[in-house]
This record gives sequence, structure tokens and C-alpha cells, in this order.
Amino acid sequence: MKIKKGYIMKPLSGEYIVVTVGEAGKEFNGMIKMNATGAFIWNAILKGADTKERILSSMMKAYEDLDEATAKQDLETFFETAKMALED
Amino acid sequence: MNIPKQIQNIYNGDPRVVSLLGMQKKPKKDELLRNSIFIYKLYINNHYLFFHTLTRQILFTEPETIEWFIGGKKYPQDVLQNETAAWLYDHYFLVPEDEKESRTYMEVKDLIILKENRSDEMTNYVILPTTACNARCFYCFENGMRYRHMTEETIQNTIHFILNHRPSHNHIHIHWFGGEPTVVPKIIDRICDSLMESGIELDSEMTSNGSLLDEILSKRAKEKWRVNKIQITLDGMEEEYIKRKRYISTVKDPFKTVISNIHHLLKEDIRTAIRLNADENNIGELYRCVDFINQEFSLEEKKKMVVYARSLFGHPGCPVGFGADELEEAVNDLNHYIVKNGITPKDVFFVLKLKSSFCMVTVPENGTVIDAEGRLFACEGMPDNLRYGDIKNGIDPNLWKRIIKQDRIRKHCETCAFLPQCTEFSRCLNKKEFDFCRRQEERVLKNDLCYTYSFFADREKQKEREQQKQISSETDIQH
Repeated sequence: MKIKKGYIMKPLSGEYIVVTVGEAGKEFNGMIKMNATGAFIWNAILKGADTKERILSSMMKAYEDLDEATAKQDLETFFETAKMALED
Repeated sequence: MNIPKQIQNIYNGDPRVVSLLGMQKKPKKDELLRNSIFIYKLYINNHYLFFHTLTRQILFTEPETIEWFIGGKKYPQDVLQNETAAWLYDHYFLVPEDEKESRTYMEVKDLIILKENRSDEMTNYVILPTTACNARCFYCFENGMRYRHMTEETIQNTIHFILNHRPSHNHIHIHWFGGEPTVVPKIIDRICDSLMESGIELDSEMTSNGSLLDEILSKRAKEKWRVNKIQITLDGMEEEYIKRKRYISTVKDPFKTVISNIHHLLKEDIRTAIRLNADENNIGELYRCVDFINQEFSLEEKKKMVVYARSLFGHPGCPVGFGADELEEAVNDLNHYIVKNGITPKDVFFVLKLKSSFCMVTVPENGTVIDAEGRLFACEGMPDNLRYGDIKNGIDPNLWKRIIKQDRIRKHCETCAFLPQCTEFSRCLNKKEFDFCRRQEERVLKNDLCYTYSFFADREKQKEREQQKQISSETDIQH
């Protein structure tokens, strides 16, 4: 999986926001708000974590006190929230 | 949450900013609250007008309602039990004590710029085909500069430079500047012809004294140079104008000639901005000038005109800046008089919309100044420290790096209420008069806000009148 072209994440007031630029704006002109966990997952995908397992692994590495069930839940929430920005 | 009845929400704010920010998230436990740094308040008609310079929201309320809010106190979170306070918090008028509002402003601005889909292509040029002029205005910023026209080599290099930076959509905008550009119409012809022959589409504007733009040249400006906007300066009525402009002998009856030429330009549908240059000695004269313009030009012509006053001398360092405080007050009053007389419609847009770019130095990727010697500058005031190369040898990467460096808010500006409507001083290396700048921003905003308030108040009254009319016509039908 990867982030679609034209979807960009930026910080805003302590949180994060995903907006579209260029052609992507024709497909989706809204915005996706994210917390720090969402931003972490976003960046992990940008860095090349292209499967659920790889993203999960980088989450577990980055947050020592995170349990796997919570991480999986966070990941599902992310996929649901950011589905329009992702592609295979 | 519904708006508390004690507050009148005159304007919801810039929709782009409001939708990005949403409602403010709840404060952390035990965090104190304070008033936002971005509030500008104005006492008007026994009420307070509160303007948020970032969201552009405008509120109107009686002093008693909001007495507690006017001081710069810190509040415990209990204050949010009060519905007015809770509403003000949701809308960023109250913020957590440690909120970094200047950072939020930069983030919002970045997002707005991103959504504007700006390209980084060079599309705007300010070109000085000459530094020569047929007037000798005592205040000219080019005083002491050598008079010279672009040489054949510079003309060729200018054309090549523009073609080498050809944008993908092939459309560029040129601002002809000088000197007096109309002294060298053939140079303008050459550049326009060559660019258009190479498939460039262009439109242009011009800063001129207007003295040479007779019927024939006005037509040429419109048709050949694609001028659709021009700025002409008037410094007073005939006697004062002649004294200040000091035309060289080739221009006969300069004042009458320029007025007649403005008629020609308007006939060609070239939007004409008349700039009234003010100093402490000609303010009264400029009021007469405004009255004259009002009489001289027809309603149709005035629709294509904008008249505005500016102070003559820049503040230290800034070549296109402001004058001294007293003069700025007087200029502000004169601009108010122009609007009151209906010559120039006041635009509420400036108040209601967050600006994302300011002078050309804030977007150096999109434009450049090419002077008569082919030097490149990031500012039309052409100060040495904003020069970054020339059209022959190209852009100096080190100088360019300094000009395009990432926006950073200077320390002085971090807590300034006017930051969101200012240049945040980041790229303009010359603006350093912070206190003066604050006063100037306040002066302009105060005027604009008063106007915006009356605009919305008139609209409300109009609505009420229409409702009243409808009620009485319904009553008539029942009878």
C-alpha cells in the first residue's frame, strides 16, 4: 500500500491534517484530521512500510509500552479514516 | 453550540481558515486560559467590535457582556461554564495559556498556500525598459540614478531570460516600470513582439506619469502591449502638480495633458489607478484634487478607476514603505474622504480574507524585477540587498538562497495582533521598524473595520426593511 499522489500531511495546531493538491483535489476536496499516531502511521507508509504487518512492526518498535491489540486497533482506525488517501 | 444572545456574530470568518481549524480542542486539565493575541478590539457605537486577525471572525457586543474579557487576564477553566466564554473558546478568542498562536498562523498559511496549488514557475516580471524620465519629480526614488535605456544586448538578454523561464501555460504578466516606460515605446514593442512571436501570451500593467499616453499611444498600449491596468500619479492641482513633477520642456500643459490622457486610457478600457502622493505640504491640495476628479470623470469612467492616497517617503530601509505617523494619519483621512465621496469603492475583502502572499518578495519564485541594466531583484524598490544576479550571467545561487529561505517569524512579531495580515518580516530584509509597523497596521485596520462594520450594519438594515415591507404587503392582502 502507498499514499496516493497529491495527498499531503501537514501539522496544524498540535495535530495533523491531510489535504490534496493538484489533480487529487478533483477526487477529494475535503481534509483528514489525524492525531500523532495517525501521523506516525502516515510517515511509516511514506518511508516504505507497505503492508499492515510492516506498519505494525514499526509502531511496536517506536512505542515500547504499546500493546499489540491497541496498535492493531489504531491501525484499523487509521485505515478507515484515511482510506481515500491510500492505494495498493 | 449556539451563539450566546449577548454576542452578535457579524462575520463567521474566512471559510478556508475556519474549516481548517474547526472548533478549538478542549484545553488540557488545569491549564489556564487567556485572550488570543490575535484579537483586535474597537470601541464603536457604544459597543465593542472584536476582530480575530487569523480567523477573520468579527463579533459585536455590549461592553457589560464582555467586561471580564477585555483585560489581559488569565482565567481558570471554570470560566468555560459561562456560555459566552465557552463560545469564545470554541472560536479561538480564548486560548490555552501556552498556545503557540504564531505557529498556528504559519501552519494555516502554509496549508492555504498549498491548497492554492501555486506553481514555482516564473510568471511575473517587473521590467524597467529605461531609467530615463521626462519629469524630474523631487521625490523620485531614482534620484541620482544614471539615466539609461536598455541596450540592444539587454533587450535580447531580457527576451532570452523570459523565454528560458517560460511557464508551462505560456502566460506571463509584465509590469512596465521605470523611469518613464513610455519614453521608450520601441523597446516595449520589441520585447512584446518577440515574446508573442515565440508563443508567449502576455498581459501587462504599467506605472507611468501618463504625459505621453495620448490617444495613439493609449491604443498601442492596449492592443500591442496588452496593458489592462495603469497607475498614474497626481500630486495636486495644476500649479502644484507642475511644481512637483518638473516636466522637461517637451511636455506642454502637463496637468491638462495627463487628465486628457486618462480619458483616453479609460476609453481603451484600461483600468486606471490614480495615486495621490502626499507629504505634509500638499494634503489640502489633494482634497481639491479628489473633488476635481469627482467632477471631471463620468460615472462610467469612474467605474474603471481607483483613486487612493499614499505617503511619499518610505520608512528607513524600506523602499516601498510608509511615511511618518502624522502623515499616515492624514493620508488615512484622505483615503476615507475618497471612499466617502464614492470615487473608489471600499472593498471589505481585505478584512474578510486572510492574505497568503504580500509584496513580491514574499513569493520570489514567481516573479522578478529586471532593471534597465539587466540586473535581477526580488523587490521593485530594487535595494542592493535584494539583488540576486543579472540576465546575462544568471541567478547567483548564494544570493538566491538567502532570498528564498524558509519563512520564519521574527521575535518582535511573534506576539503581534497584526501578524496574520503583515509580511511577518521574514523575507524582506529591510523592514525593521516594528513599532511603527504595528501602528500603521492598526491605523489601516481600524479604518477598514469601521467600514466593514457599516457594510454589514447597512446590509442588516436593508434586510429589516425588506422584511418590514413583506409584512406590510401581507397585511394589505389580508385586509
